[in-house]
Amino acid sequence: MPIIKLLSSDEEPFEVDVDIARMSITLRTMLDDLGIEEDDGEPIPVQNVNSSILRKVIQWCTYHKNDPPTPDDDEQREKRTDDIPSWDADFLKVDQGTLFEIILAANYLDIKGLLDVTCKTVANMIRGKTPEEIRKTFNIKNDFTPQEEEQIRRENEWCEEK
Amino acid sequence: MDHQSSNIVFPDVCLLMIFEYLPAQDLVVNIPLVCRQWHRLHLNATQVRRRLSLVVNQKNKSVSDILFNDSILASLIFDQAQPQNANKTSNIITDSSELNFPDIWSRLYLPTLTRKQLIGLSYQFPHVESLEIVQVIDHPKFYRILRFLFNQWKNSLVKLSIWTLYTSRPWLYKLPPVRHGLRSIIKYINSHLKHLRHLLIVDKSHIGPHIWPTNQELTIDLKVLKRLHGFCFYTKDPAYVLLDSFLRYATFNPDLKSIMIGSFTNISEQFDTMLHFDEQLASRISYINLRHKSDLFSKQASEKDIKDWEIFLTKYANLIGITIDLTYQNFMITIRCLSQLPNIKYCHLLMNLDLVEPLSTFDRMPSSTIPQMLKLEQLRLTIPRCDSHDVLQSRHLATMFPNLKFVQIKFVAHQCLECGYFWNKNSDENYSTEHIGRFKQCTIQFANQWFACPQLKAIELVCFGKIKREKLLFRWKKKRQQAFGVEMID
Repeated sequence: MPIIKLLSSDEEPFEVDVDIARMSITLRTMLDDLGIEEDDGEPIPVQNVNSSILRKVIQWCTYHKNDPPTPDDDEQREKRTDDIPSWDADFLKVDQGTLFEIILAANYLDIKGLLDVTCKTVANMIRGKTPEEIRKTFNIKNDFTPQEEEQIRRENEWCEEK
Repeated sequence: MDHQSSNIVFPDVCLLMIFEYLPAQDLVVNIPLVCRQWHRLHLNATQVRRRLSLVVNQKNKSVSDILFNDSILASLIFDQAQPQNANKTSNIITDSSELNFPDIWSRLYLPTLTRKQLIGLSYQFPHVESLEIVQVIDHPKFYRILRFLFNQWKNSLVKLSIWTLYTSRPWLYKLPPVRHGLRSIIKYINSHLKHLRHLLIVDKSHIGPHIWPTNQELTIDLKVLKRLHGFCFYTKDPAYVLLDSFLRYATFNPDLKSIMIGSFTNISEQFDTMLHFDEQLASRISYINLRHKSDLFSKQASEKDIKDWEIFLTKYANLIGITIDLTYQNFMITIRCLSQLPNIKYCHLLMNLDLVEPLSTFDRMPSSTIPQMLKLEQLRLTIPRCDSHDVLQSRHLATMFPNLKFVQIKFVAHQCLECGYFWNKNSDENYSTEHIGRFKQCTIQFANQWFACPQLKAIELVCFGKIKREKLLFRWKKKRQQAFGVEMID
């Protein structure tokens, strides 16, 4: 199996099977455009992903390397969030910061399966919660003035459950 | 870095991806109030949504259960209308290959509907292509509201479903209401919704008079059939009010692949009319609701009945769903007859078990003579009276229904001597925990044998009460036979 080297943003090198690296559309495009088929000694920089996150991403890709290709999104189909495989659910039992960094990495590296499962995990943390509970869950600061908040409440009265 | 205590700021692009997975209800009600960033982005997320399901006049979310049975049927039928290379616009129909409960992702619960709400809706969701409206109780302004919404989305609407449901049925033993407004809505759809390709109307009331004129002059004009790909109509009106429109419009629209007639074909003449449909039109009818007053499925079937059935089999071989009232007919013969329809995936039998032989009658027959419904996925049985769980047991269930995925059995009155259980819809008795426990045991007996069907994923057993409007419901899943609970209707 041909191997290539990836270099995280904090300059830690990772040796990865080419097939696993190609699960990332970003890396696949890079490999194809540069005509890289295996390790030529020069690591490929993954500038936006640090070593601890890149390690997690490679771990996820390695586990899912034999999965069938993710079908194209039909954006109007019901997006279910109750179908996260148990391995992925365990894999994503990390602190929120790490989870969000995995989302960013999956987005940057364009790994659809990983992006889907991480977004679903966060969506599950949001759904059914009040604004105050959401703020508490994600430690988000309420930056509305009382007047703004009241204004939004009035605008959204039409759909509020009485 | 201590992430838990830091102030999380998501990049917009990530937040928008996460919002894609949120149910419309969360997206509209809670998200805008979190912070300025979420408020700014929530509108981007709603404005790209093309699919919306509005549950009107309903705070209680238990409507899902009521919708489930009809929606699985509709999705089964509409899936057949999907072109092989469906583009995104038309590919917005729920996949029924698995048992999907109604779509929560696109659902909004609206306890009331006011002008302010309507304007809010059309602002937040400007490009709706697939609209489902679930109207839980009657509302005098409802049809004006529909017109307003259709007008907002008339340039984008491709799929429209209108359901009118009743959580309580005060008219259960009276005549159902007449809703003339629905006829005017159909007229509006005919003339204004030019992009509509799928139309589903389920309203368990009349849209015409309770007694339609026998000269059949009064019909419902469905010009929209000229441009539809899928059509479902299910009201208490007789199906003959539609037949004229089928002949005038559907015949000449080859894109209309699936026609679902849920209204009753309860008049012999009407059945005769359908037998005389052009073969090409008949082959596109995918669901039919037969309340045929002959001995078609009985041992007394006349020569005409047998000949009619042969014609029916030839013309309606593409049927995917069928509902049959088996009162005074024979269950065994019905199963044998239905097994001759090779594509049936959904079957609902309303029967009187006092008059039928138990399924175990098949056990005495050689395997080679057992009728098989090879493609059947959903079986619903409505049983006014059942005396034992044994009545619906056979060692050949797996042979008869090799692809069955879901079974629902509704009892109105049920007793089982073996399980020591009695339930009567007319009884005013309060059922004790012990009594309910016995019914639960009885449902386990039912479920155990049916799970011999290799593909069966769930079996639902329901007992209905009339006076107290109580419902005992047990759903069982294969393997871990775990009850979801006992549910009482409000």
